[in-house]
Amino acid sequence: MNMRQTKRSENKKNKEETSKQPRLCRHTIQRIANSPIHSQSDGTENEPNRTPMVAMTPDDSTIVCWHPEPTFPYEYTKPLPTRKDKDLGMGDSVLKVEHHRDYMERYRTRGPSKKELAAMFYTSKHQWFPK
Amino acid sequence: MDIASKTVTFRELIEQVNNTIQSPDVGRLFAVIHLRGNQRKVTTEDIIIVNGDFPPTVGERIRLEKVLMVGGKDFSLIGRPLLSRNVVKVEATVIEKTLSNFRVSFNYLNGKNYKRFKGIKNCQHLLLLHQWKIIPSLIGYCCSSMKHSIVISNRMT
Repeated sequence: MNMRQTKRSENKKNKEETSKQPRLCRHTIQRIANSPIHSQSDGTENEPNRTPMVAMTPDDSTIVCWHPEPTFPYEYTKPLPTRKDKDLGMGDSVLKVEHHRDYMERYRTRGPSKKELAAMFYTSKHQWFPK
Repeated sequence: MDIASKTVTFRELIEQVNNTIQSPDVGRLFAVIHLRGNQRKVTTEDIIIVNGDFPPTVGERIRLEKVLMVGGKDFSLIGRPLLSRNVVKVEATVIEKTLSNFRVSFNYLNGKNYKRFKGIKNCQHLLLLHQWKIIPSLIGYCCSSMKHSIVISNRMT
């Protein structure tokens, strides 16, 4: 029980910390500019062209934003997920993996599913059911 | 935080944006355009559907004047509310005029002997968007005529 309680308290603490951080706000530019940058270990955030900036042109016609893509340090990356054992075992087989997959999905309807369509077109699933 | 440091930051920002616009690895640009009451986020080679009346004929190349925002991987320009005509030029070609899918409207009143069956198809126009250009000179011009530039940056000390 004690362990659970401590875990809960830790979670609470984390939540509080996240709520304290400034969030993206659509009303003011200043808030966006003050939001924290992606933490980087290789020191690229100190380079002048890697820091995100927001500015307004003197005639107040355009807002210019600079938001370079944050580089993610290699040492914190994870390896790609390995394939399933069944597929890997097919390596030396005469049967190809794709044929195996085709066999497994032989009753599946052709083309993308409703869920995939909804994800593709940024809609809900309801658009893809026949009326 | 003094005025000198502000202006330097602004200049740097403008230079960076201009350099990325001119560089070959600027990547795919996106734009938010306003067309017939709808705002859409589009990229190059997109095909968009315009519903209802639309005067341009097939094969005509038109310029989409209302551009709210243009951006890429590293930068974005936001208009207030629209970007100037001189900053960005988004063009599209009308490639097809078609009808939409067949939609049924069936009205029925119980006990009134009232049934109305209608099939509805509305006009649709397909537009193909061309690759667009951002002209960096105008942003540079803004830099040269700097009077009261507002620079908001979290690294500005």
